[in-house]
Amino acid sequence: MSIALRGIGKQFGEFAAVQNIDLDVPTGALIALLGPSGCGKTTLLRIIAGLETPDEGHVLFDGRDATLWPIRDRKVGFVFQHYALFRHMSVFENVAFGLKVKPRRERPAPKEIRSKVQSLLELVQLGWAGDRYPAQLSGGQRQRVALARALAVDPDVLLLDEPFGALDSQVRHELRRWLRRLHDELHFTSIFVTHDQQEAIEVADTIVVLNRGRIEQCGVPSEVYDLPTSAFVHRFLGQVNELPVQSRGGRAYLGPIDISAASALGTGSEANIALIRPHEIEVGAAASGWPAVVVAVRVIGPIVRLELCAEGQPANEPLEAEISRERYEGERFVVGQKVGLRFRRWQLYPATGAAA
Amino acid sequence: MAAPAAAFEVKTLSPPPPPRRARGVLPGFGLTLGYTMVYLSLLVLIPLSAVFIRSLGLGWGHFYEVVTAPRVVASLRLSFGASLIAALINVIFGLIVAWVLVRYTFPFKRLVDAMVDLPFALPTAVAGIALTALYAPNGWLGKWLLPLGIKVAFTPLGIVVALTFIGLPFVVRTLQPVLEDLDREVEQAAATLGASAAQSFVRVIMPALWPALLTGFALAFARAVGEYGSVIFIAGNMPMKSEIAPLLIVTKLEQYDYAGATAIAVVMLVLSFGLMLGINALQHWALSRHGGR
Repeated sequence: MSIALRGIGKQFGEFAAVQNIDLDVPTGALIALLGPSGCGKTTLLRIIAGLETPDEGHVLFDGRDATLWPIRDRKVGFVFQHYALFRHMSVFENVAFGLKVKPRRERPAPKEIRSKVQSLLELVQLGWAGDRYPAQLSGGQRQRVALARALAVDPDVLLLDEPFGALDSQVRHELRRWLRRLHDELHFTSIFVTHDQQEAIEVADTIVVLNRGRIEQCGVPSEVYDLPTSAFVHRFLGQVNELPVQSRGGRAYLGPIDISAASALGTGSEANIALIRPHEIEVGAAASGWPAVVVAVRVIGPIVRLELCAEGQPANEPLEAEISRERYEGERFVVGQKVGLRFRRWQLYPATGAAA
Repeated sequence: MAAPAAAFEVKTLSPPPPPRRARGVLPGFGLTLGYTMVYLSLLVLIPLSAVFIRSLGLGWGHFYEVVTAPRVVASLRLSFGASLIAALINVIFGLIVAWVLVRYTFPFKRLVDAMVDLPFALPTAVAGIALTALYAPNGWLGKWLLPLGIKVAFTPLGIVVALTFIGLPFVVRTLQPVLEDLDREVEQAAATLGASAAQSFVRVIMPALWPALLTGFALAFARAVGEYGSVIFIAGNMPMKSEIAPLLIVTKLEQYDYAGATAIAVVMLVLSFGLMLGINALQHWALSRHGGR
């Protein structure tokens, strides 16, 4: 089922949770709504599910206006951040719930329910846990039960509200991959909410970045990561170094590096800011580039993070650069070493809009 | 391999260390348990055993004769029956009151919330007089009910009304915190799974409320069984018809029939205790179905 949002707006008292949202989710897509807390991503998801009613705009399911449809008629599976399992029911009963509450005409026979629930439990690798109660399961297991429960009613859309937010990173990583596989196997339309950019990049086909109730950018993960259209998106999708652009004699500089030739933006008098990702900084011999001193070296598995104090920059705001482990093994940077910096890539934004 | 084995042997030679007791964060189990026992003994156990001991003065035959007298049996039946009905009414309507107070906001909600406690605070005689004035054949409500053939004051129905009045806060106040703690997301989950409002209520909300409802029922019931002040005004107190057991006890006391009075008291005590025990067991069963908690 495809979902379309047209001009969706929702106020909570004085606070505008979402404003004028337009979004198209094609059938079978796996979309991430990404943003900081309070950006409206959960509200948007709840509007699609019918758990909130938008003040303005329309929700279209396959082109039909579903804005005011009751929750139970929407055929959406919803997975809550804190699982929202029925505590007094066993795992089996939890998963069977959606089938047992169907009107008598549509309700499968008890035998069918039994086999369907069992196969769903196998699918989420909890075939052994049917008799357990939610309180007896770990967080990751509970969330898998919640998923099986949502899938039991064959939803056209699966909505997940920070589904892995409350889990530890190992389990989270496993469940992400598992969700991706499940999506590829079952072909439903999925929308999930997250504040974790890595999760969004790893799992989704399309990322929708939200900020203050509006869509900042929408695109495939690599596009959103590499070509952010605003400083906000650039900052939110990973680590960045921020440097002011100085203009001297009609030319633009980052420190001593002349960037006029390579940048379309900002040779004028307006103040600009350059955002540079850690892996876009090239650390070389002291004689080349912007002179800097290594102030910290941290080996993080396959990468090595260097903190560098560049000449003329405040000492309490070192730049962060990432180099590969292999390169580090060869060159052995040490604290106090003098190096020269170059920038492989950077992106300029007007400084006024940067203060988000 | 030899060295660790030797080290192990040395360990087994020394006397086993005393078993370690699990330590809580707050100490003082012994002290607080002792206090609890003394307190309960002074306030509950000793006075109640005095009742038993006193009634023993009757001897078995006489005791049996007193408690099986038709007037006593009728009063006991009325006391427990009316209390049961009143508690059941309170469970249903107390649930609605608690639900409204927790789930909705409306003008003067705090005031309404405070009103629930009035039956706690009011001297029960005041409640009895007020209810009697209201439901008497010439009272505000009574005069409208009379043409319909419904007599409330001076009948068992009036007793039920009074007992419902005094029992209401128990149900409301035990349910309120539980309702506030209910996870709304669980109801929303039920809705996304296709459950109707009624199905959500019966299958998802009620199971979470059972233990609290039982507690509220037990408290309201216990309070009603022991109620005296409000009932005697509205009941009319006709022997065999509208005379409650506590009144009969007082009547016997006034006739200096202490042993007879305590005999009835003993029967009430045993019945009440048995019922409370049963309700507790039921509650334990309801709670244990949550699995691991």
